[in-house]
Amino acid sequence: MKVETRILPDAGPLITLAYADALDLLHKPGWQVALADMVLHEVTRNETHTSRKIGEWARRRSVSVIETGIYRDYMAGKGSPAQRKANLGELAVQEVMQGYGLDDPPRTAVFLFEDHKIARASFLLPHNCHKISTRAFLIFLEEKGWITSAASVERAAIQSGRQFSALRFPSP
Amino acid sequence: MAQTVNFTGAVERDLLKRAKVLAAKTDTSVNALFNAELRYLVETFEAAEAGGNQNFRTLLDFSLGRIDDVAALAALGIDSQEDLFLLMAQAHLPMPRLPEAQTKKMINTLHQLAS
Repeated sequence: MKVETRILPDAGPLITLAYADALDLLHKPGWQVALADMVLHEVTRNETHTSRKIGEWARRRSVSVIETGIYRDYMAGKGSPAQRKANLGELAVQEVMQGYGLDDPPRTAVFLFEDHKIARASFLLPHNCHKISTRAFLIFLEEKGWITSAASVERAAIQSGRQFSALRFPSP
Repeated sequence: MAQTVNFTGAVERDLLKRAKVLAAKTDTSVNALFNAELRYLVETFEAAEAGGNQNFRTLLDFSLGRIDDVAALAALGIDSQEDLFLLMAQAHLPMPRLPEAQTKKMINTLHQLAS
């Protein structure tokens, strides 16, 4: 029996691919694409250069949204001045991963992160879950012949980011 | 004209290959590109330090993997991964990278899952 594979990007890969105008690449392997609810909220709650693009892509491609306790608790406490916002998407992804560890029958899950998050996160990973970097995913697509160049997608994201970078440099 | 010296360094094979293509396309040399980028990095860093601004150092430390994104976000006073990405792009610094061997292992995992 073929085990179902899902791909679940964190906020970083969504932002990078959105800047490269390449969110549809997530569907290239033919795996189901899903998002943790808190991740989707994190990348769409504020009006940014990519928020609308990611929201529209998720609707257009009917991306599954996985409910998490982190998001439920966040929404319950919304508006509280002391409410924590940082890294909640990543915590929600961890919650989803733990759920996969108990799945019966087991499904395979590919969790996409940016390199720096893979370098940092050191929690125990269920055997059916794989942490993969955006770069590794893009090189895999290139080796499969589904895109012509992984580097050009990364480059497009950076060039687009520079174009949009009217962002103020934070004061010391 | 400033005096130049030779030095020995190491660079990723693929990066050097791309730099050679870029140099050919722009009718210059890899050496000239390297000098321009190194000058940009040094002068930006020095200007930020002279102005008492530690943000470029924070971004450089993040780029080199010396601090993680949580520490970088806190030091810069921002709370969004997108803002961090944009600041790195604006500062002309690459996002931190995992070692090639680790990336290769992840690529192999994906090939196994796809087969």
